[in-house]
Amino acid sequence: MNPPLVGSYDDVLVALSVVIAIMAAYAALDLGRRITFARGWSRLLWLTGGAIAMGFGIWSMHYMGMLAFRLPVPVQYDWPTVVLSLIAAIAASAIALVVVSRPKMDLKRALLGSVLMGGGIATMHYTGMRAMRMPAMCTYSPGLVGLSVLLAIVISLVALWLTFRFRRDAAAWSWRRSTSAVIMGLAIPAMHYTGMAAVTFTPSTTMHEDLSHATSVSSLGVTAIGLATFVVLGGVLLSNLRFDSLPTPRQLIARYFLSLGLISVLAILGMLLVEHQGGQTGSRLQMALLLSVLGVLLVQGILVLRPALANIHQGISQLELAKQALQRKSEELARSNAELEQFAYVASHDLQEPLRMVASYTQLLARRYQGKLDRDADEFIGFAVDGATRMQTLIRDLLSYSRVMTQGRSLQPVDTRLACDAACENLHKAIEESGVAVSVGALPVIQADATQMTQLFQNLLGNALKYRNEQAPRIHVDARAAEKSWLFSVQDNGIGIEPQYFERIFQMFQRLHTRETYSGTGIGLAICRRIVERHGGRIWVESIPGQGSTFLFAIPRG
Amino acid sequence: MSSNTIEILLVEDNAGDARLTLEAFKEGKVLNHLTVVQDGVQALAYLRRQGPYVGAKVPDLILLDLNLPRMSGREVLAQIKADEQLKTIPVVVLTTSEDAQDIARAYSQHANCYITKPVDLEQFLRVIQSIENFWLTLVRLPPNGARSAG
Repeated sequence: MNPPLVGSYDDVLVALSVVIAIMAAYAALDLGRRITFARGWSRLLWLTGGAIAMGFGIWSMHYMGMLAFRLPVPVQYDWPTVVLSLIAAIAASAIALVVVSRPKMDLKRALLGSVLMGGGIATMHYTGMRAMRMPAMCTYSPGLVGLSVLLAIVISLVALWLTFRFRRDAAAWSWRRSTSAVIMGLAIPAMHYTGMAAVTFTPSTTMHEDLSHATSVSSLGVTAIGLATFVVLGGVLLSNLRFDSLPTPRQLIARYFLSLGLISVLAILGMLLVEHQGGQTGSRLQMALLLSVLGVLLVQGILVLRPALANIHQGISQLELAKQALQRKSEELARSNAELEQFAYVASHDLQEPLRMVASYTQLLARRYQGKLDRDADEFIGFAVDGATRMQTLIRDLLSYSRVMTQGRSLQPVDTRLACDAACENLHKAIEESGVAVSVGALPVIQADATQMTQLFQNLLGNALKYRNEQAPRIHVDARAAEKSWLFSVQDNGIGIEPQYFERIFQMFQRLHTRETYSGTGIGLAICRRIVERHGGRIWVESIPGQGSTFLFAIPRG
Repeated sequence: MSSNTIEILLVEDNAGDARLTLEAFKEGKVLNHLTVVQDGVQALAYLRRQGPYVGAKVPDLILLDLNLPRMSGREVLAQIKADEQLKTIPVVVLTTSEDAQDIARAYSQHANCYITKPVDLEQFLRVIQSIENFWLTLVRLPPNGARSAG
């Protein structure tokens, strides 16, 4: 009796077999979910495709494990037997997928399923072993064989249970599923290598078996099997990645790690190929180098790329939040502004009624009793009448200020010459009395609210009349085309305004003179500004104190 | 009260306005008697001489505010103009409303004229004076007997 052959394991291929096992486990868990959710034809399709993919994965893992085992004699494989083992793997997978996608699972079903599945896997394994063609005898240790079969059944049971548990988990990627996949993925090779340990190879010079279908497995073949496995199982996993639905930084991260994974797989397979072909010296060193480069890229991805992209992502969402907050604020502002306008309108409108009482009765008092009481009474009545009258004017002006926005009409073509003429007509008494010479140049037709245009001219002309110089007072209204707007001007040779008041005069209730010198509420120019702004324009003043003022306003050309 | 006193019914809920109108008529030249009721229901009861108004005189002129409690002036106007006994009495709508719709509606309900109350006292007095001049002096009103006989 010859001493048994001592086999050794190729570390890289063993690692590869474990990786494939993990991928297959993840694919199984994922397929369980999909088949559970699928109905009709789609379910059958997923079941068939899934069984083939998973079976191929298990089989591939098994073969990688077989090939990792090196014997000091040449080994060939009988390919029909190999195909038979593949079919066994696919059958086991199909059973597993059917069991886990049933609506219910009880102990009996689970046990039956795991016996069938574990049996299928064991069949695949030992059929695969039978495919070996070599100048050696295989003897099996019954205890270890039994243990490996038991392991296959137990692992199947656990796998079925886990898959059934997590099949409702709608998320494609989860820590739970990943952890289960790793545990299952580690358990499958454990069974395989127990099975390998159960066999002892004794050299023999005679070849009993039929070699007509035997073929040796080259490293190219290993590479092909590896690649095919990655493509099939990777396809199942990647079909879960909905790139479009991911936020951009996540897409980048996913792409980065996917391409890194692909490069790694290709590089490792390439290395294997090189090593198996020629076994060049220093190839281990090269592999170590390559692995360290890949490791650096992986670490870089985890430590640099991921946080950076997460930061960018966070920044973008913060920006988005800020934008939304800003939008909310501006909506609130618009609303509160509208409410304020409504309030001003209602307030000034409703204030008029009681004020009319106050004013009317103080006036009636003055009318009936002026000169009939003492001098003090006359003075008091005078103040009351004056106050009430001024308040009426104020409220009327306030009302017309709020009406600019609340009661404005839509903008239509308006001949501003007509608007200006209407304003002059309204003021003709004041113009005649003051002796001001009013001249009007060529004025354009613009998109405007005719009533408001008249009011605008009337307020500006009224001011020019009010703040006139007594010597040869004159007012000139004109307009000229600027680049994108019409530039209107109302020019007088009146008392003028100090430059420091140029802005202030357009604000509400701002007055430069005492009521004794010039009457007024200080709303006129505020109304002017509001009208001009409603027309999308702006208004300002140019003036030299003592020489006159020019009020200018620009209205965009339609 | 003399028989050539002109009877005026003022439908006005604002006591200040009512008194002001009263004062304005006091300054007038025509001998008149002004009765004030404060809402639409009272106005119709007065005109139809119901309840406390059994002995009321049929007015020669009605001054009607539009915004009244209980029953609005618009409703009162519609009822008066639909009533054979009352529709010949001239109705002057005297209100603060400048609303074009109010004006159009009042005339379509056969109001005899529509006047917006001026804010200023002087103008208000002038308006009341005009009413007096026109309706109580210039215009020949339908004979009062023709209505009260009914």
